[in-house]
Amino acid sequence: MGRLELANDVLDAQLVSRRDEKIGRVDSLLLELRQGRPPRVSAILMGGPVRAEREGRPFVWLSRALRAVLRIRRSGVTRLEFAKVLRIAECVRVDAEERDIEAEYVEHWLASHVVCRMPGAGGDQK
Amino acid sequence: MKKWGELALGVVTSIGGFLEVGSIATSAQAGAEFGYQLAWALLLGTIGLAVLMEASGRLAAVSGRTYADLLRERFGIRFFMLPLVALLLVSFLVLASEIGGVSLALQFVTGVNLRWWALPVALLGWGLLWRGTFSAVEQGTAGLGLVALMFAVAAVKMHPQWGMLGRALLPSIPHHEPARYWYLVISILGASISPYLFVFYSAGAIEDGWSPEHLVVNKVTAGLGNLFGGGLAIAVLVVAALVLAPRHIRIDSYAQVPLMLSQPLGKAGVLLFAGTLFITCFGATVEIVLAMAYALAQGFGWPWSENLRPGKDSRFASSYTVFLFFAALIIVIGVDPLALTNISMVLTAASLPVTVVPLLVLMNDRTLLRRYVNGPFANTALVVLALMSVVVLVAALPLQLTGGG
Repeated sequence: MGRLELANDVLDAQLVSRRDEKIGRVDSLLLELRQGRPPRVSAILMGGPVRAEREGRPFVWLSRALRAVLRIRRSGVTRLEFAKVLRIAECVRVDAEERDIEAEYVEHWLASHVVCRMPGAGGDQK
Repeated sequence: MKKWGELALGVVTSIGGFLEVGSIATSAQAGAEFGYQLAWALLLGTIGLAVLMEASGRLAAVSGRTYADLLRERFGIRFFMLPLVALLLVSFLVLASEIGGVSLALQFVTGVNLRWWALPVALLGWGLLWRGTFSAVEQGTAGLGLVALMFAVAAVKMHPQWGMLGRALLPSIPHHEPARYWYLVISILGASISPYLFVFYSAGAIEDGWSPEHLVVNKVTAGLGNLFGGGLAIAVLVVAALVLAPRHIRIDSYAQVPLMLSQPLGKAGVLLFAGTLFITCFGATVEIVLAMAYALAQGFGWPWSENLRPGKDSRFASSYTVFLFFAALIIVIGVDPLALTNISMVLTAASLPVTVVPLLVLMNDRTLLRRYVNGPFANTALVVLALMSVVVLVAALPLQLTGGG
Protein backbone atom coordinates (compact mmCIF):
# COMPACT_ATOMS: atom_id res chain seq x y z
CA MET A 1 0.00 0.00 0.00
CA GLY A 2 1.61 3.25 -1.10
CA ARG A 3 0.87 6.77 0.03
CA LEU A 4 0.13 9.76 -2.15
CA GLU A 5 -0.30 13.43 -1.47
CA LEU A 6 -3.38 14.76 -3.24
CA ALA A 7 -1.97 18.25 -3.83
CA ASN A 8 1.48 17.06 -4.95
CA ASP A 9 0.77 13.85 -6.81
CA VAL A 10 -2.77 14.13 -8.16
CA LEU A 11 -3.77 17.78 -8.53
CA ASP A 12 -2.38 19.24 -11.80
CA ALA A 13 -1.15 15.81 -12.97
CA GLN A 14 -1.44 14.78 -16.62
CA LEU A 15 -4.59 12.75 -17.31
CA VAL A 16 -4.50 9.91 -19.82
CA SER A 17 -7.36 7.83 -21.14
CA ARG A 18 -7.48 4.04 -21.04
CA ARG A 19 -6.03 4.21 -24.58
CA ASP A 20 -3.10 6.36 -23.42
CA GLU A 21 -4.41 9.53 -25.09
CA LYS A 22 -3.47 12.79 -23.35
CA ILE A 23 -6.83 14.23 -22.23
CA GLY A 24 -5.91 17.26 -20.14
CA ARG A 25 -4.86 17.72 -16.53
CA VAL A 26 -6.44 17.35 -13.11
CA ASP A 27 -7.62 20.94 -12.85
CA SER A 28 -9.42 20.47 -9.54
CA LEU A 29 -10.56 17.80 -7.09
CA LEU A 30 -14.05 17.61 -5.62
CA LEU A 31 -14.40 16.72 -1.95
CA GLU A 32 -17.80 15.31 -1.04
CA LEU A 33 -19.08 16.08 2.47
CA ARG A 34 -21.26 13.24 3.71
CA GLN A 35 -23.57 13.38 6.72
CA GLY A 36 -22.28 11.24 9.56
CA ARG A 37 -19.44 9.87 7.44
CA PRO A 38 -15.94 11.18 6.68
CA PRO A 39 -15.54 13.37 3.58
CA ARG A 40 -14.12 11.70 0.48
CA VAL A 41 -12.61 12.77 -2.83
CA SER A 42 -15.48 12.11 -5.19
CA ALA A 43 -14.42 13.49 -8.58
CA ILE A 44 -11.77 15.03 -10.79
CA LEU A 45 -12.79 18.31 -12.43
CA MET A 46 -11.22 19.51 -15.65
CA GLY A 47 -11.68 22.27 -18.21
CA GLY A 48 -10.92 25.94 -18.80
CA PRO A 49 -13.49 27.52 -16.44
CA VAL A 50 -12.37 25.30 -13.52
CA ARG A 51 -8.73 26.08 -14.24
CA ALA A 52 -9.42 29.81 -14.46
CA GLU A 53 -10.89 29.78 -10.92
CA ARG A 54 -7.54 28.54 -9.64
CA GLU A 55 -5.39 30.75 -11.87
CA GLY A 56 -6.82 33.94 -10.38
CA ARG A 57 -9.41 36.63 -11.03
CA PRO A 58 -7.92 38.09 -14.26
CA PHE A 59 -8.07 34.65 -15.87
CA VAL A 60 -11.71 34.19 -14.76
CA TRP A 61 -12.58 37.48 -16.49
CA LEU A 62 -10.57 36.51 -19.55
CA SER A 63 -12.26 33.11 -19.72
CA ARG A 64 -15.75 34.69 -19.41
CA ALA A 65 -14.94 37.34 -22.01
CA LEU A 66 -13.63 34.75 -24.47
CA ARG A 67 -16.68 32.56 -24.00
CA ALA A 68 -18.97 35.55 -24.56
CA VAL A 69 -17.11 36.79 -27.66
CA LEU A 70 -16.86 33.34 -29.22
CA ARG A 71 -20.46 32.56 -28.16
CA ILE A 72 -19.44 29.31 -26.51
CA ARG A 73 -22.47 27.74 -24.84
CA ARG A 74 -20.93 24.40 -23.87
CA SER A 75 -19.79 24.25 -20.26
CA GLY A 76 -16.29 23.05 -21.19
CA VAL A 77 -16.13 21.31 -17.79
CA THR A 78 -15.77 17.57 -17.26
CA ARG A 79 -16.51 15.82 -13.99
CA LEU A 80 -14.84 12.43 -13.82
CA GLU A 81 -15.88 10.16 -10.94
CA PHE A 82 -12.82 9.39 -8.83
CA ALA A 83 -13.81 5.74 -8.96
CA LYS A 84 -12.78 5.83 -12.63
CA VAL A 85 -9.14 6.32 -11.69
CA LEU A 86 -7.22 3.23 -12.81
CA ARG A 87 -3.69 4.16 -11.79
CA ILE A 88 -1.80 7.08 -10.32
CA ALA A 89 1.88 7.27 -11.24
CA GLU A 90 3.64 10.01 -13.20
CA CYS A 91 0.25 10.56 -14.84
CA VAL A 92 -3.28 9.72 -13.77
CA ARG A 93 -4.88 7.01 -15.92
CA VAL A 94 -8.68 7.00 -15.98
CA ASP A 95 -11.27 4.59 -17.32
CA ALA A 96 -12.54 7.00 -19.97
CA GLU A 97 -11.98 7.79 -23.61
CA GLU A 98 -11.04 11.08 -25.17
CA ARG A 99 -14.47 11.47 -26.77
CA ASP A 100 -16.12 11.31 -23.30
CA ILE A 101 -14.26 14.41 -22.15
CA GLU A 102 -16.30 17.58 -22.59
CA ALA A 103 -13.20 19.72 -22.02
CA GLU A 104 -11.61 18.19 -25.13
CA TYR A 105 -14.24 19.53 -27.54
CA VAL A 106 -11.90 22.33 -28.65
CA GLU A 107 -9.39 19.70 -29.85
CA HIS A 108 -12.13 17.93 -31.86
CA TRP A 109 -13.62 21.14 -33.20
CA LEU A 110 -10.22 22.44 -34.36
CA ALA A 111 -9.30 19.07 -35.87
CA SER A 112 -12.52 18.63 -37.83
CA HIS A 113 -13.26 22.25 -38.80
CA VAL A 114 -9.79 23.71 -39.39
CA VAL A 115 -6.70 21.51 -39.15
CA CYS A 116 -7.82 18.45 -41.09
CA ARG A 117 -9.03 20.65 -43.95
CA MET A 118 -5.44 21.59 -44.65
CA PRO A 119 -3.10 19.39 -46.69
CA GLY A 120 -0.88 16.94 -44.79
CA ALA A 121 -2.82 17.08 -41.52
CA GLY A 122 -4.38 13.60 -41.58
CA GLY A 123 -2.98 10.21 -40.46
CA ASP A 124 -1.03 9.35 -37.30
CA GLN A 125 2.75 9.70 -37.66
CA LYS A 126 4.51 12.03 -40.07
CA MET B 1 28.60 4.92 -33.84
CA LYS B 2 25.04 6.13 -33.33
CA LYS B 3 26.14 7.88 -30.13
CA TRP B 4 28.87 9.78 -32.02
CA GLY B 5 26.30 10.84 -34.58
CA GLU B 6 24.03 12.08 -31.81
CA LEU B 7 26.95 13.92 -30.18
CA ALA B 8 27.96 15.63 -33.40
CA LEU B 9 24.37 16.59 -34.18
CA GLY B 10 23.83 17.92 -30.68
CA VAL B 11 26.95 20.07 -30.79
CA VAL B 12 26.14 21.44 -34.24
CA THR B 13 22.53 22.15 -33.20
CA SER B 14 23.75 24.06 -30.15
CA ILE B 15 26.09 26.18 -32.26
CA GLY B 16 23.19 27.11 -34.53
CA GLY B 17 20.90 27.57 -31.52
CA PHE B 18 23.28 29.96 -29.79
CA LEU B 19 23.94 32.27 -32.70
CA GLU B 20 20.81 34.05 -33.89
CA VAL B 21 19.63 37.59 -34.51
CA GLY B 22 19.81 38.59 -30.83
CA SER B 23 23.35 37.39 -30.18
CA ILE B 24 24.64 38.72 -33.53
CA ALA B 25 23.10 42.17 -32.90
CA THR B 26 24.13 42.51 -29.24
CA SER B 27 27.67 41.18 -29.86
CA ALA B 28 28.15 43.55 -32.81
CA GLN B 29 26.84 46.52 -30.78
CA ALA B 30 29.08 45.60 -27.84
CA GLY B 31 32.17 45.31 -30.06
CA ALA B 32 31.45 48.55 -31.91
CA GLU B 33 30.94 50.58 -28.73
CA PHE B 34 33.26 48.98 -26.16
CA GLY B 35 35.86 47.01 -28.16
CA TYR B 36 36.73 43.69 -26.55
CA GLN B 37 35.63 44.86 -23.09
CA LEU B 38 32.27 43.06 -23.03
CA ALA B 39 33.63 39.64 -24.04
CA TRP B 40 33.19 38.55 -20.38
CA ALA B 41 29.42 39.06 -20.62
CA LEU B 42 29.32 36.67 -23.61
CA LEU B 43 31.36 34.12 -21.69
CA LEU B 44 29.04 34.46 -18.67
CA GLY B 45 25.95 34.05 -20.89
CA THR B 46 27.49 31.00 -22.56
CA ILE B 47 28.29 29.30 -19.26
CA GLY B 48 24.85 30.23 -17.90
CA LEU B 49 23.04 28.72 -20.87
CA ALA B 50 25.22 25.60 -20.77
CA VAL B 51 24.37 25.05 -17.07
CA LEU B 52 20.63 25.51 -17.66
CA MET B 53 20.54 23.33 -20.78
CA GLU B 54 22.49 20.54 -19.09
CA ALA B 55 20.07 20.65 -16.15
CA SER B 56 16.88 20.65 -18.24
CA GLY B 57 18.26 17.88 -20.49
CA ARG B 58 19.21 15.74 -17.46
CA LEU B 59 15.75 16.34 -15.94
CA ALA B 60 14.06 15.14 -19.14
CA ALA B 61 16.41 12.19 -19.76
CA VAL B 62 16.06 10.79 -16.22
CA SER B 63 12.43 11.61 -15.35
CA GLY B 64 11.04 11.18 -18.88
CA ARG B 65 9.14 14.45 -18.32
CA THR B 66 9.54 17.88 -19.84
CA TYR B 67 10.29 21.06 -17.91
CA ALA B 68 6.91 22.68 -18.71
CA ASP B 69 5.06 19.50 -17.65
CA LEU B 70 6.85 19.43 -14.30
CA LEU B 71 6.46 23.17 -13.75
CA ARG B 72 2.68 22.71 -13.94
CA GLU B 73 2.53 19.54 -11.85
CA ARG B 74 4.96 20.47 -9.07
CA PHE B 75 4.15 24.17 -8.69
CA GLY B 76 0.42 24.16 -9.50
CA ILE B 77 -1.55 26.08 -12.09
CA ARG B 78 -1.47 29.41 -10.23
CA PHE B 79 2.33 29.61 -10.21
CA PHE B 80 2.65 27.96 -13.62
CA MET B 81 0.79 30.84 -15.28
CA LEU B 82 3.61 33.22 -14.30
CA PRO B 83 6.46 31.52 -16.23
CA LEU B 84 4.01 30.53 -18.99
CA VAL B 85 2.76 34.08 -19.61
CA ALA B 86 6.32 35.49 -19.29
CA LEU B 87 7.68 32.87 -21.69
CA LEU B 88 4.91 33.39 -24.24
CA LEU B 89 5.12 37.19 -24.20
CA VAL B 90 8.91 37.39 -24.35
CA SER B 91 9.26 34.55 -26.86
CA PHE B 92 6.63 36.18 -29.07
CA LEU B 93 8.77 39.33 -29.33
CA VAL B 94 11.93 37.28 -29.93
CA LEU B 95 10.04 35.27 -32.55
CA ALA B 96 9.11 38.49 -34.38
CA SER B 97 12.79 39.59 -34.20
CA GLU B 98 13.95 36.30 -35.71
CA ILE B 99 11.38 36.52 -38.52
CA GLY B 100 12.72 40.07 -39.00
CA GLY B 101 16.25 38.62 -39.15
CA VAL B 102 15.37 36.10 -41.88
CA SER B 103 13.48 38.79 -43.81
CA LEU B 104 16.43 41.15 -43.49
CA ALA B 105 18.79 38.51 -44.93
CA LEU B 106 16.44 38.25 -47.92
CA GLN B 107 16.40 42.04 -48.20
CA PHE B 108 20.23 42.12 -48.33
CA VAL B 109 20.22 39.66 -51.22
CA THR B 110 17.16 40.81 -53.21
CA GLY B 111 16.85 44.49 -52.34
CA VAL B 112 13.13 43.94 -51.66
CA ASN B 113 12.04 45.52 -48.35
CA LEU B 114 11.99 43.09 -45.43
CA ARG B 115 8.31 43.83 -44.69
CA TRP B 116 7.38 41.95 -47.88
CA TRP B 117 9.34 38.90 -46.75
CA ALA B 118 7.87 38.44 -43.24
CA LEU B 119 4.75 36.48 -44.24
CA PRO B 120 6.52 34.22 -46.79
CA VAL B 121 9.18 33.49 -44.13
CA ALA B 122 6.48 32.61 -41.58
CA LEU B 123 4.81 30.40 -44.18
CA LEU B 124 8.10 28.60 -44.89
CA GLY B 125 8.62 27.96 -41.15
CA TRP B 126 5.03 26.81 -40.79
CA GLY B 127 5.42 24.42 -43.75
CA LEU B 128 8.48 22.82 -42.13
CA LEU B 129 6.64 22.38 -38.83
CA TRP B 130 3.40 21.16 -40.43
CA ARG B 131 4.99 18.55 -42.69
CA GLY B 132 8.34 17.84 -41.02
CA THR B 133 9.27 15.70 -38.02
CA PHE B 134 11.26 16.82 -34.99
CA SER B 135 14.50 15.51 -36.46
CA ALA B 136 13.79 17.37 -39.72
CA VAL B 137 13.51 20.59 -37.71
CA GLU B 138 16.64 19.72 -35.71
CA GLN B 139 18.82 18.51 -38.58
CA GLY B 140 17.47 20.75 -41.32
CA THR B 141 18.88 23.87 -39.79
CA ALA B 142 21.82 22.40 -37.85
CA GLY B 143 24.29 21.51 -40.62
CA LEU B 144 23.59 24.65 -42.62
CA GLY B 145 24.17 26.71 -39.47
CA LEU B 146 27.87 25.93 -39.80
CA VAL B 147 28.05 28.77 -42.34
CA ALA B 148 28.25 30.91 -39.17
CA LEU B 149 31.85 29.69 -38.83
CA MET B 150 32.74 32.47 -41.28
CA PHE B 151 32.61 34.85 -38.28
CA ALA B 152 35.50 32.89 -36.77
CA VAL B 153 37.40 33.04 -40.10
CA ALA B 154 36.80 36.80 -40.31
CA ALA B 155 37.93 37.33 -36.70
CA VAL B 156 41.17 35.36 -37.18
CA LYS B 157 41.90 37.15 -40.48
CA MET B 158 41.72 40.48 -38.62
CA HIS B 159 44.62 39.40 -36.35
CA PRO B 160 43.05 40.29 -33.00
CA GLN B 161 45.22 41.09 -29.98
CA TRP B 162 44.76 37.74 -28.23
CA GLY B 163 46.22 38.93 -24.92
CA MET B 164 43.79 41.84 -24.72
CA LEU B 165 40.89 39.58 -25.68
CA GLY B 166 41.91 37.08 -23.00
CA ARG B 167 41.95 39.83 -20.35
CA ALA B 168 38.49 40.99 -21.51
CA LEU B 169 37.09 37.59 -20.50
CA LEU B 170 37.27 38.88 -16.91
CA PRO B 171 34.66 41.50 -15.90
CA SER B 172 35.83 45.11 -15.84
CA ILE B 173 34.41 48.55 -15.06
CA PRO B 174 33.57 50.74 -18.10
CA HIS B 175 35.68 53.84 -18.84
CA HIS B 176 32.74 55.68 -20.47
CA GLU B 177 28.94 55.51 -20.73
CA PRO B 178 28.36 53.16 -17.76
CA ALA B 179 24.57 53.01 -18.29
CA ARG B 180 25.02 51.89 -21.92
CA TYR B 181 27.69 49.38 -20.86
CA TRP B 182 25.48 47.68 -18.26
CA TYR B 183 22.49 47.84 -20.62
CA LEU B 184 24.54 45.91 -23.19
CA VAL B 185 25.58 43.40 -20.49
CA ILE B 186 21.89 42.68 -19.80
CA SER B 187 21.07 42.51 -23.54
CA ILE B 188 23.91 40.02 -24.06
CA LEU B 189 22.71 37.88 -21.15
CA GLY B 190 19.14 38.00 -22.52
CA ALA B 191 20.36 37.04 -25.99
CA SER B 192 22.39 34.11 -24.60
CA ILE B 193 20.16 32.71 -21.87
CA SER B 194 16.71 32.49 -23.45
CA PRO B 195 14.14 30.46 -21.49
CA TYR B 196 12.70 29.16 -24.77
CA LEU B 197 15.98 27.31 -25.34
CA PHE B 198 15.68 25.07 -22.31
CA VAL B 199 11.93 24.53 -22.77
CA PHE B 200 12.70 23.47 -26.35
CA TYR B 201 15.70 21.39 -25.31
CA SER B 202 13.83 19.38 -22.65
CA ALA B 203 10.90 18.75 -25.03
CA GLY B 204 13.42 17.74 -27.71
CA ALA B 205 14.96 15.21 -25.33
CA ILE B 206 11.53 13.56 -24.97
CA GLU B 207 10.86 13.75 -28.74
CA ASP B 208 14.23 12.02 -29.33
CA GLY B 209 13.44 9.36 -26.69
CA TRP B 210 16.30 10.20 -24.32
CA SER B 211 16.98 8.00 -21.27
CA PRO B 212 19.71 8.18 -18.57
CA GLU B 213 22.00 6.58 -21.19
CA HIS B 214 21.95 9.91 -23.01
CA LEU B 215 23.42 11.88 -20.10
CA VAL B 216 26.86 11.99 -21.75
CA VAL B 217 25.33 13.23 -25.01
CA ASN B 218 23.48 15.82 -22.94
CA LYS B 219 26.64 17.03 -21.15
CA VAL B 220 28.66 17.31 -24.37
CA THR B 221 25.82 18.97 -26.31
CA ALA B 222 25.17 21.55 -23.61
CA GLY B 223 28.85 22.14 -22.79
CA LEU B 224 30.77 21.89 -26.04
CA GLY B 225 27.93 23.06 -28.30
CA ASN B 226 27.36 26.23 -26.32
CA LEU B 227 31.07 26.84 -25.97
CA PHE B 228 31.43 26.80 -29.77
CA GLY B 229 28.30 28.95 -30.15
CA GLY B 230 29.58 31.43 -27.57
CA GLY B 231 32.98 31.41 -29.29
CA LEU B 232 31.31 32.47 -32.54
CA ALA B 233 29.42 35.27 -30.75
CA ILE B 234 32.80 36.46 -29.37
CA ALA B 235 34.11 36.34 -32.98
CA VAL B 236 31.28 38.73 -33.99
CA LEU B 237 32.31 41.03 -31.13
CA VAL B 238 35.99 40.87 -32.21
CA VAL B 239 35.21 41.77 -35.84
CA ALA B 240 33.00 44.67 -34.72
CA ALA B 241 35.71 45.83 -32.29
CA LEU B 242 38.39 45.83 -34.99
CA VAL B 243 36.34 47.23 -37.89
CA LEU B 244 33.69 49.50 -36.36
CA ALA B 245 35.10 50.72 -33.02
CA PRO B 246 38.22 52.49 -34.48
CA ARG B 247 35.90 54.40 -36.85
CA HIS B 248 33.47 55.25 -34.01
CA ILE B 249 30.63 53.62 -35.95
CA ARG B 250 27.72 52.60 -33.71
CA ILE B 251 25.20 50.09 -34.97
CA ASP B 252 21.92 51.95 -35.33
CA SER B 253 20.39 49.61 -37.89
CA TYR B 254 20.92 46.07 -39.13
CA ALA B 255 22.04 47.40 -42.52
CA GLN B 256 25.40 48.32 -40.89
CA VAL B 257 26.15 44.83 -39.56
CA PRO B 258 27.25 43.12 -42.83
CA LEU B 259 29.50 46.09 -43.67
CA MET B 260 31.84 45.08 -40.87
CA LEU B 261 32.52 41.84 -42.77
CA SER B 262 33.42 43.52 -46.04
CA GLN B 263 36.88 44.44 -44.68
CA PRO B 264 38.04 40.92 -43.70
CA LEU B 265 36.02 38.93 -46.29
CA GLY B 266 35.40 41.37 -49.16
CA LYS B 267 32.19 41.28 -51.17
CA ALA B 268 31.60 37.65 -50.22
CA GLY B 269 31.35 38.83 -46.60
CA VAL B 270 27.99 40.50 -47.17
CA LEU B 271 26.60 37.41 -48.91
CA LEU B 272 27.99 35.10 -46.24
CA PHE B 273 26.49 37.34 -43.58
CA ALA B 274 23.10 37.19 -45.31
CA GLY B 275 23.38 33.38 -45.48
CA THR B 276 24.31 33.12 -41.81
CA LEU B 277 21.53 35.48 -40.76
CA PHE B 278 18.99 33.58 -42.86
CA ILE B 279 19.88 30.13 -41.57
CA THR B 280 20.48 30.91 -37.89
CA CYS B 281 17.37 33.11 -37.60
CA PHE B 282 15.23 30.59 -39.49
CA GLY B 283 16.44 27.84 -37.14
CA ALA B 284 15.65 30.04 -34.15
CA THR B 285 12.20 30.91 -35.59
CA VAL B 286 11.07 27.28 -35.74
CA GLU B 287 12.64 26.45 -32.37
CA ILE B 288 11.04 29.41 -30.57
CA VAL B 289 7.57 28.84 -31.97
CA LEU B 290 7.83 25.13 -31.14
CA ALA B 291 8.93 26.00 -27.59
CA MET B 292 5.85 28.24 -27.21
CA ALA B 293 3.51 25.51 -28.47
CA TYR B 294 5.27 22.88 -26.30
CA ALA B 295 4.88 25.02 -23.17
CA LEU B 296 1.15 25.54 -23.80
CA ALA B 297 0.39 21.92 -24.73
CA GLN B 298 2.45 20.37 -21.94
CA GLY B 299 1.13 22.80 -19.33
CA PHE B 300 -2.51 22.16 -20.20
CA GLY B 301 -2.15 18.43 -20.89
CA TRP B 302 -2.96 18.54 -24.61
CA PRO B 303 -1.62 15.93 -27.04
CA TRP B 304 1.70 17.19 -28.47
CA SER B 305 4.53 15.98 -30.63
CA GLU B 306 6.23 17.37 -33.69
CA ASN B 307 6.25 13.76 -34.97
CA LEU B 308 2.43 13.49 -34.98
CA ARG B 309 0.28 14.64 -37.87
CA PRO B 310 -1.33 18.03 -37.05
CA GLY B 311 -4.78 16.39 -37.04
CA LYS B 312 -3.69 14.34 -34.00
CA ASP B 313 -2.58 17.34 -31.93
CA SER B 314 -4.68 20.10 -33.42
CA ARG B 315 -4.38 22.60 -30.54
CA PHE B 316 -0.59 22.21 -30.55
CA ALA B 317 -0.41 22.68 -34.34
CA SER B 318 -2.90 25.57 -34.27
CA SER B 319 -0.83 27.29 -31.56
CA TYR B 320 2.36 27.45 -33.60
CA THR B 321 0.35 28.49 -36.68
CA VAL B 322 -1.26 31.44 -34.87
CA PHE B 323 1.97 32.56 -33.15
CA LEU B 324 3.90 32.52 -36.45
CA PHE B 325 1.23 34.53 -38.26
CA PHE B 326 0.92 37.27 -35.63
CA ALA B 327 4.70 37.52 -35.08
CA ALA B 328 5.15 38.03 -38.84
CA LEU B 329 2.49 40.76 -38.74
CA ILE B 330 4.68 42.76 -36.32
CA ILE B 331 7.36 42.95 -39.02
CA VAL B 332 4.77 43.60 -41.75
CA ILE B 333 3.46 46.70 -39.95
CA GLY B 334 6.98 48.13 -39.99
CA VAL B 335 8.39 47.73 -36.47
CA ASP B 336 12.17 48.27 -36.61
CA PRO B 337 13.85 44.82 -36.19
CA LEU B 338 16.87 46.19 -34.28
CA ALA B 339 14.70 48.08 -31.76
CA LEU B 340 12.52 44.97 -31.40
CA THR B 341 15.61 42.78 -30.88
CA ASN B 342 17.04 45.09 -28.22
CA ILE B 343 13.82 45.36 -26.23
CA SER B 344 13.11 41.62 -26.45
CA MET B 345 16.63 40.73 -25.25
CA VAL B 346 16.26 42.94 -22.15
CA LEU B 347 12.77 41.51 -21.45
CA THR B 348 14.13 37.98 -21.89
CA ALA B 349 16.80 38.70 -19.28
CA ALA B 350 14.14 40.17 -16.96
CA SER B 351 11.94 37.07 -17.30
CA LEU B 352 14.70 34.69 -16.17
CA PRO B 353 13.92 34.45 -12.41
CA VAL B 354 10.52 32.80 -12.96
CA THR B 355 12.06 30.10 -15.15
CA VAL B 356 15.44 29.62 -13.49
CA VAL B 357 14.41 29.44 -9.80
CA PRO B 358 11.85 26.57 -10.29
CA LEU B 359 14.50 24.61 -12.21
CA LEU B 360 16.76 24.78 -9.14
CA VAL B 361 13.94 23.28 -7.03
CA LEU B 362 13.18 20.50 -9.54
CA MET B 363 16.85 19.57 -9.95
CA ASN B 364 16.97 18.65 -6.25
CA ASP B 365 13.85 16.45 -6.31
CA ARG B 366 14.99 12.89 -5.67
CA THR B 367 11.61 11.42 -6.71
CA LEU B 368 12.25 12.78 -10.21
CA LEU B 369 16.01 12.53 -10.61
CA ARG B 370 16.94 9.69 -8.25
CA ARG B 371 20.77 9.58 -7.98
CA TYR B 372 21.12 12.14 -10.74
CA VAL B 373 20.01 15.10 -8.56
CA ASN B 374 22.22 18.18 -8.60
CA GLY B 375 25.57 17.93 -6.85
CA PRO B 376 27.10 20.87 -4.95
CA PHE B 377 28.76 22.27 -8.10
CA ALA B 378 25.57 22.27 -10.22
CA ASN B 379 23.58 23.69 -7.30
CA THR B 380 26.08 26.50 -6.74
CA ALA B 381 26.01 27.33 -10.47
CA LEU B 382 22.19 27.39 -10.52
CA VAL B 383 21.99 29.48 -7.30
CA VAL B 384 24.46 32.01 -8.77
CA LEU B 385 22.39 32.11 -11.98
CA ALA B 386 19.15 32.53 -10.02
CA LEU B 387 20.64 35.41 -7.99
CA MET B 388 22.05 36.97 -11.15
CA SER B 389 18.65 36.70 -12.83
CA VAL B 390 17.03 38.59 -9.90
CA VAL B 391 19.66 41.37 -10.13
CA VAL B 392 19.03 41.55 -13.89
CA LEU B 393 15.25 41.78 -13.31
CA VAL B 394 15.70 44.73 -10.92
CA ALA B 395 18.21 46.51 -13.18
CA ALA B 396 16.51 45.87 -16.54
CA LEU B 397 13.95 48.68 -16.58
CA PRO B 398 16.20 51.51 -15.29
CA LEU B 399 18.94 50.48 -17.72
CA GLN B 400 16.49 50.23 -20.63
CA LEU B 401 15.47 53.83 -19.87
CA THR B 402 18.99 55.21 -19.37
CA GLY B 403 21.15 53.08 -21.66
CA GLY B 404 18.74 51.72 -24.26
CA GLY B 405 18.89 54.61 -26.72
